[in-house]
Amino acid sequence: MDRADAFLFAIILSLLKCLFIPAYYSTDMEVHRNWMAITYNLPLNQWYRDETSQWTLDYPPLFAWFELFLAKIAATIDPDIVMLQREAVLKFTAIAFQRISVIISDIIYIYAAYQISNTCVETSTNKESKRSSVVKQHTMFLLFILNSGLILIDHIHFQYNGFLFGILLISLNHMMKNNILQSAVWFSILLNFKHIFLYMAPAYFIYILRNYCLSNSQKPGSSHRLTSFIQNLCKVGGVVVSVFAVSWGPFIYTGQLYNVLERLFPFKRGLSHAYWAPNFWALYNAGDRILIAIYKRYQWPITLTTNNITGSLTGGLVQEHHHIILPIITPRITIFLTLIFMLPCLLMILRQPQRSSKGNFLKCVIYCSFTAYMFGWHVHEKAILMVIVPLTLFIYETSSFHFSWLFFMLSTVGTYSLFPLILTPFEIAIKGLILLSYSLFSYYSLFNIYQSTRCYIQWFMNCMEVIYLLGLIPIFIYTELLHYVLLPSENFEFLPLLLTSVYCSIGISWLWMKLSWNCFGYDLFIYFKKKRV
Amino acid sequence: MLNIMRMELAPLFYCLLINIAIRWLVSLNGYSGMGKPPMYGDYEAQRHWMEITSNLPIRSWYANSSDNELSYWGLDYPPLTAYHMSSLGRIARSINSSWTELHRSRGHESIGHKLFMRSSVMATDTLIYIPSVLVYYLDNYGEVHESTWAVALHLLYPGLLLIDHGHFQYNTVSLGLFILAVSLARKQCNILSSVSFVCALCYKQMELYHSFPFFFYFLGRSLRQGFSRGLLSVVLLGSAVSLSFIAIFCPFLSQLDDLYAVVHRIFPVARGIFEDKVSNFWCALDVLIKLKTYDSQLIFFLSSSITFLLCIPSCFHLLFRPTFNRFIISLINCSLTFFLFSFQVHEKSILIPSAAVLLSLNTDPFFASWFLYISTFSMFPLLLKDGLAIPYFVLNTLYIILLSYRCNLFHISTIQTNHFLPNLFPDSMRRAIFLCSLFVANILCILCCFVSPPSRFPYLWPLLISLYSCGHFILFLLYYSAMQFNQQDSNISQFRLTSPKLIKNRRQVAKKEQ
Repeated sequence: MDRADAFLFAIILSLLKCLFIPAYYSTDMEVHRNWMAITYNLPLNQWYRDETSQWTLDYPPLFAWFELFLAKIAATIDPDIVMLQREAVLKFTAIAFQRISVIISDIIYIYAAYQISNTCVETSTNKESKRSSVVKQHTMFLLFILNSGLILIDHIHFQYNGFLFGILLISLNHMMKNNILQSAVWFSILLNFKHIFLYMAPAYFIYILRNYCLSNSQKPGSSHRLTSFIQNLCKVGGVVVSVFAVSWGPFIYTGQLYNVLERLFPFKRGLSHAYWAPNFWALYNAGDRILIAIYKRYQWPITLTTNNITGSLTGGLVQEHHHIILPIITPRITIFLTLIFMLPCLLMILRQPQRSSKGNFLKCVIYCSFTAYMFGWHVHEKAILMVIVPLTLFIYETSSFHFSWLFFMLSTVGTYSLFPLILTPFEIAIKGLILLSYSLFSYYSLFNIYQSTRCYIQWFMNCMEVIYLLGLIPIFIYTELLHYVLLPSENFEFLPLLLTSVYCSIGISWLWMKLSWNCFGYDLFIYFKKKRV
Repeated sequence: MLNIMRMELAPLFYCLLINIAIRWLVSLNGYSGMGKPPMYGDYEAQRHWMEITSNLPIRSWYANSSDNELSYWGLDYPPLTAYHMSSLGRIARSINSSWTELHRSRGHESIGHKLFMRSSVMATDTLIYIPSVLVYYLDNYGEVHESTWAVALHLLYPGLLLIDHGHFQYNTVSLGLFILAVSLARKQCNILSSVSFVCALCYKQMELYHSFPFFFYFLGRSLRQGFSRGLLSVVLLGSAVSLSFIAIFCPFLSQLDDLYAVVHRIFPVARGIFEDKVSNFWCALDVLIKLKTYDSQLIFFLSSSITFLLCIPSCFHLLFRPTFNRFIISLINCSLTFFLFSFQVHEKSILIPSAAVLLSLNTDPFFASWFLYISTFSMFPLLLKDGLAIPYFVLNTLYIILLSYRCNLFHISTIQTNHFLPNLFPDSMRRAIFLCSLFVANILCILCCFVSPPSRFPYLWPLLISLYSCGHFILFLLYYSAMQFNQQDSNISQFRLTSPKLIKNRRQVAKKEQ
């Protein structure tokens, strides 16, 4: 792909993003503004201790530095933007400045998408296939930069995810080019921007351990396996530790280590949000609700396992709610489950060197973040982007079209599951249009590529999945429009959220199972079959 | 499902979705007169018309009464607008009766009402304007791919988008009907075309700007059919036009007073030659001679006669050589003449010449793009007042980028349809002039946004903008007139919006021929 083409796309897209400036924004706008104010006005030793506003700084240190950098610019434009105060500052300059800062920082993402789509789809010398590879590069690039979920979250809801995913893509790009050290550096920088990327860390850890530290094939005549292992381990470890030292050093020095950790990992919050992120726990909660209804219907005695019942019966709108019939879930259980489900995929990379290809590494990254999303404690619905964005890399995995189909399904359902975040009437039409056009675009472009390979017959074997996707349309119409006409009473306020969450979690759980089958399940199946024979 | 998605129409559908999404994004912004009592702006005018037309009987819509004070946004558009407003008013009342309550709803502003108003514009846009544009382009080209681009570029024109979905008006109705009339005229459905045009005219009287070319085009085509058939088609057309007029004005025909009230409201001679800062000839002349001191009857007579005189050459040329391409050019010439010289012109009226220029986007992309850019620019002070500066910059820049990417604006001489201009200007010079013109326009916009004018001339920047664009429009009028008279009859083939590759191929062919 030409640099000029990418540049043109970038400019057009950035211009279009400017149209979102007057759109609805969530409290995250004020959260980030407050972080600018904290970093600009307070000395370093107060950053993680300040509680002037309720929106305290709870991202890792590098992000705080990033906010300081923004605040320095903002102060020259309008000093009011960086005022530290309890109340929100909702001036137009503050909003426009933050919106534009997101758009500008997104350039990193666009650049990374350009790089990685060039790496992923290699340009061949053959003239006929050269043209199709250019089309593929364009499509992958566009699927990256137009990602509807990212647009909804970054440019309407407001967050700085774009450039973080840009850093992730840079890291993955280095990994695909076998620059393992650079990749590790970029990934640890990423972790210091937003710790949610810890979801992917196991995959990185195991892959680097296997392919960098334990590989002795680089120097065939090298003397000792152990020495090369220690050497490489020191290299990677040194690099990663130094990144963390630079980032965390000042805060440990000022004695805020405990404050930072407390802010980063708030286990005091509940298992699920007010809006249940559509993962396994949403189904679990819904199951609990259904069981309560059944128990009440047949007047079976309910054994109360907790002293707090009031919250749970009003439909899960309170932040902490407790299960009544099913066992109560603690953070430890979630961590345990997450690790258990990650294990087979990680072991596969570790045990079988011939399987530890780059493709498998990517699959493992996607699988790990998906599993963490499915079983994690207090998961945000936005975390689904951490699966969708890397999954874009697989749209041309010709050996298994399952992945491209998976991408299409997951990007549609996952983005739909973000809809409850944006709830003002004007934006309802916009979010629907954005998702619809992105899904159609991905469908259309994938179809264009695959029509020659005759895979589409198998595609449509998945009729049920298509019907499921079409089912989103009535759900959308009901939750956004009909509900307020049919059941306007306050007793049913929870219903649209519940419906969206449960419907999406059914689809997402199914896709998770499909992904695990494609990542390692099939291989395990073959393995055990052979053993039995 | 498989077949639908495999069809070539998918990109077209996708482009429509994007267009609708952009319209919604623009409609998030402010509207004309938001939160500015006592008069508010065009948004309140439309809402007030809904209030009047849905509450009062038809005959009192245009007459001054205690329920209908004409000094407060009296209805000054023809009956079709009133019917449209009436039906919208009824829908509004069924949703929330306080939106159109007589007297008490004045200056009503709420988020729900804004949503309703914006959706009503969206509805007319998607039901009338977009289908007409599709009709115009889809039968024009063989390849769907080419026409997808043409449709996208036509629909993305920022001027109309910003005025209708930002500033708030229903121009898409009359302009959509106009485009429908033009495409019907190309298909030789003369009667349907004239009915459609009458509807456009009865929605907004400003469509008069386009009326002369329609008249002379149909007349010229009829004359070519021989005496008896020609006479027959003239009679048919005439009766179709008068019947549709009668049908639309029917409720006002029973008493002459009613009709007089309507006509008086539609053509307000007393309101002065122009409003605010318009980029036309009179506003420019006003800098030298204060026109408002003269008798408005005299000025009316003067401006009208100048307009008619200037239209005559173009119209008669069309009468004797009625080809479709010349018809389009003549539409541009007459509407631009009207905009520059006629009486009571608003800055938004530039949309009417622009609608004609948009139709020539495929034959002469370079000048059309330039014209469209300047036309949106000429409305900048108005858009700035409504808080639409950001969408203006975004959309106008986006539009010129897309045009220059798609139509390869900077290498035009290879596809030039008219042969007189390349001798006047070399290619590089034209490019330089074009870029300079855009550059100065942007400088003026930035001055208008950020630099406060000297206290002696509070309207300095809007005046400069209107003078600057007026100069452009006069030059464009000269160019298009020259084009009309220089066009050869044989050259009727439609050039498509040409991709760079096609141009390359053409060049190679030309080289080989040499």
